[in-house]
Amino acid sequence: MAATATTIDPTPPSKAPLNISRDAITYHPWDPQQEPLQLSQIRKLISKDLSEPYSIYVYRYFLYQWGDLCYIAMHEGKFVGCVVSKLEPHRNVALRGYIAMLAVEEEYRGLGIASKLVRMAIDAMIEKDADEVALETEISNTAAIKLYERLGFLRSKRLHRYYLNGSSAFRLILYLKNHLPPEERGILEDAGCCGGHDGHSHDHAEHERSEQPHDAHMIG
Amino acid sequence: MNDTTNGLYNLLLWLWSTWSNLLRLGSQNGTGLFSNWGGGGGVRRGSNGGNGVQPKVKDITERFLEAARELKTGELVQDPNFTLLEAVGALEIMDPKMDSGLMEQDAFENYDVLAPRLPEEIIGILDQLLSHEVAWHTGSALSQTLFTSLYLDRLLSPAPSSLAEAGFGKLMHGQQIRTFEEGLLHKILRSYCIGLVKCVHHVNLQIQLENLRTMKDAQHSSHCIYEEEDIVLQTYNVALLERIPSSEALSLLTETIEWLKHIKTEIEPQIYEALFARLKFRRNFLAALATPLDNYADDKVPTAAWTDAQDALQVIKETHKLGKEVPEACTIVVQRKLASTVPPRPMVEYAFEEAVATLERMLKRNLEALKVLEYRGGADLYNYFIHFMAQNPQPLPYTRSLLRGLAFNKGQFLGKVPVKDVVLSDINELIFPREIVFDPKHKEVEMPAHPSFKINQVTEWYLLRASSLYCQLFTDQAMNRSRFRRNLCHSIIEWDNFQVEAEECDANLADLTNETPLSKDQSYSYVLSSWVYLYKLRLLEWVVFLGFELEIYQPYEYSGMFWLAQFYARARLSHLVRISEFSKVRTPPSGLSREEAQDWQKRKLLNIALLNYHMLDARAIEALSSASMSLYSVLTHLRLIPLPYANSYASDELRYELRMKPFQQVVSPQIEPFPRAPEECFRPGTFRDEFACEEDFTEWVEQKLEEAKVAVSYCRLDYNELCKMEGMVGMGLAGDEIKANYKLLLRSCVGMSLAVMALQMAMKKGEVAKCEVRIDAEKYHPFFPVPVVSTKK
Ligand SMILES: CC(C)(COP(=O)(O)OP(=O)(O)OC[C@H]1O[C@@H](n2cnc3c(N)ncnc32)[C@H](O)[C@@H]1OP(=O)(O)O)[C@@H](O)C(=O)NCCC(=O)NCCS
Repeated sequence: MAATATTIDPTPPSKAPLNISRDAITYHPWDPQQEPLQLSQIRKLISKDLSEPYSIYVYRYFLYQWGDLCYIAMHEGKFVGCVVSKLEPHRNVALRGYIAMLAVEEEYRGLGIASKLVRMAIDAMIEKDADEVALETEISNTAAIKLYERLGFLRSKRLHRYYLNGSSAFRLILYLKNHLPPEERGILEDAGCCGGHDGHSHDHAEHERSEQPHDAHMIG
Repeated sequence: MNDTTNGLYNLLLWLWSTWSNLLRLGSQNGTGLFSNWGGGGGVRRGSNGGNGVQPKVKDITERFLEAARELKTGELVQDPNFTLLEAVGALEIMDPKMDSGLMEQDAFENYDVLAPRLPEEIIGILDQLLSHEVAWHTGSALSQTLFTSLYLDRLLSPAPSSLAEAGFGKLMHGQQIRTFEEGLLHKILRSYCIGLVKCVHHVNLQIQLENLRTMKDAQHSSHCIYEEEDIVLQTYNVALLERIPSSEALSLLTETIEWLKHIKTEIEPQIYEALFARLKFRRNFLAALATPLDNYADDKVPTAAWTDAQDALQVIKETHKLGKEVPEACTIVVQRKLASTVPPRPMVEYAFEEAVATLERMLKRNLEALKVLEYRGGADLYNYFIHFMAQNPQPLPYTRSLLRGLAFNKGQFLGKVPVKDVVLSDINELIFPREIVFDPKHKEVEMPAHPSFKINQVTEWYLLRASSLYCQLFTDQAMNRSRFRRNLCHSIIEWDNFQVEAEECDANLADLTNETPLSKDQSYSYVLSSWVYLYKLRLLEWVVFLGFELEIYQPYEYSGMFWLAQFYARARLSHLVRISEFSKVRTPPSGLSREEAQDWQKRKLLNIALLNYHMLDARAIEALSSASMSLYSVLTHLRLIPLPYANSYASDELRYELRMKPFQQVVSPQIEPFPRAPEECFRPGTFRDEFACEEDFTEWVEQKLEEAKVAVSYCRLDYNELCKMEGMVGMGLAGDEIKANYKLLLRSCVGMSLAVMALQMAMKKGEVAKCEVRIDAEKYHPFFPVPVVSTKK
């Protein structure tokens, strides 16, 4: 795991949820064999918090191609949370994981379920050699922002009126690896530090375009 | 769901979204096809449906089912071109949440637009329309705002091609209106609605035109005023009375106003006043919006129309209470009819009071935007744009496109000055280069071997490239703030590259003009690249500071980002010092007449004054950033602001790399790699542990607070001085805004100084543990959020 424990954890504010023991929650990778049952449950869970429903195709788009990056939380046979993600090369420079959907059943929130699910997804991405993880979240979604920031994500940009309901988003990014070559990280002291020019000529236009249009907005 | 239906489902979805795309591309026949799908309840009607085009229908059900039987549940037949975007765009037919065809029609069918309405109800309807219009201006779709109005729906379908055809039915244009009651509907409401639709049309057109222009100018397509994210230009194939000239709509409004005046005695005075103001507002608003920007350059500026609209709006505000709401007159069921590929969306509720406030602001700013026509030089323009666009709330998309469109149009500034000349005036004001560099006489030389010819070649190339980046900068400023920052991140790379090229030009010029180096260190002036570097440094500072404004940083990152800010401000300060060293020793060229020599002296003095002013500004920003850096660093290590969590996937180094990405790519000034970056700023969790003992740490804290105190006191002096500045070059258009901005910076400065004092006190008393810190970004300058320190009770 890439987590480097360099920072200090102040005691997290602990909420006292229902009488649910954390140990009674079980976590499972997505099982394609169970699709008829699980898909409808995932859909139900996710769409509760959406202003507009996604077509079934959106779910299949992820589950069919990256089912191994999706995890489910269960409690006594009940479906209580899930994370849906993907992993693809980003602009040919980085292998980028993307958390597309995350939700936990209302009564089960505050138990660390979402954190655990996201960790499982990120760990699976690390297994597959991901360089970074990205997602978007509504700027007013404090619960989600806090959750991701606790895991190490930084806000990298703000996206104006990103969602169809008119609210803006933050793009959150987590680097899992160094992106710069050693000489630009100041590791080889004498390697001259003017490589900036050719080193990173990304296609900016391409990049910006990929942020739009509106219709592809996921809730991470 | 059994396997067959499941597979069928997939295929259906695929087909559906393919059609949706066709539709999105504006295929008119595509809309016709829908009427044959979706079974009984889900009939979709495009706006052109039933226009006589008979779609060909081929029954594929059997083939479809057959193919579907082959699929297992969950199996996906995916076309490589079918992207996530399309998956998200797909709708499920017969799902009530996605299929707008399933909406109840009752509301739609039961409302009688021809039913007589009370005057109070007409006022209510007009005010509802106004709220919807403002909601649209602020980014909501027409389908959720104006197009929900059943009056507009009746007016616009089927698309009327002349004024006579545009009405609600029965009584049409030209027919006798006998009573006030009839006139309320067929004159007042009708002409208001026609005027309103024309207003929407003109705003739409103006922004589209701007988009096209900026796209043409720009090197990247990302540089344009984004529709959708700022304003939704989509009209769902509904024609916005394009075929009716605005002049006719204006005459109609005038006619109606005259008619109203004519029957004034029959109407209750208050009602009269209310109706009159609404018509007057609409007429003036339309008159202003319909004035082509090209006319502005010929002094046909619609100032009076904007101010008359302002006056009328005041009366609208005061008489709103007379109105009686008619909520049934708007329904989202209209969305059934719209050629749209999105699920039903709720109506946007925009409160009338808020709508009026937004509109008042818009009118005021549209008037302010006209100030640009009084342009007095590069520095002026630059300051004016910055302050105009930085207003909070930001000016509406229309206003921003108006200002940008007025300023930069077809490669000309204000429709008359080539942008190149504006850049040149800016260079002259800021850098005061030797006359020989931009001497217009060079152009007259036609011998390629002649130095003049070569000099001209170099400067022409430079000015061309500079103009394009310069234009870009103003276009970027016209974006919403989030996109502005993102575009700047790209622009700095371009300015950085340009600087390298400009340095080559400078070296060439030094040669071609036999420049004598400065005696002190034998360096050359590098005027061309100097200008580029100055702009680049400004942009770099902006990127850092806009991050604060947009709340992109977490508090524990503040000290690091202020470190970066002071780093760039310091670079700007020393660059300005360098420029002024060259400027100060300049002597007038030989052979000037007495008058010319006086003029030359005056320009030199203005340049030095301008440079001094910029140096003061840079020094103040540097000091305030340094103070903030020290202060936030202390707060972090005293654990008074939340630290990053330990058990995370991130590390200080990876965080640094991610945060510095936009800056890391810039060649000069180059930022330090992580190992050499200041630890107190970039190692929030561990820096404190490096101290051998608590006393050392305390000493460090006290020293940092002292540093902050000193820096803050210096910049307080600077800002006091800057607030008093009068008549400076560049303060012509935005003098008041510049001062207001310095006052806000001064306030942040005072806030920081209070925090420093509170902490020093707490340290002295050993009561740091009792301190609480709240970060206030509201009351202070958006670039400098202030920590408010208090003691826990
Ligand atoms: C966001 C969401 C998934 C969090 O699920 P969860 O299981 O409650 O999250 P966790 O228990 O793992 O919380 C982890 C941390 O996030 C923060 N957090 C969670 N809920 C919070 C809330 N309501 N307010 C503030 N912080 C909150 C806390 O710091 C929490 O740690 P703590 O409980 O130790 O203090 C859940 O609220 C949800 O389903 N929301 C609706 C859908 C959604 O918004 N999805 C994410 C879109 S990007």
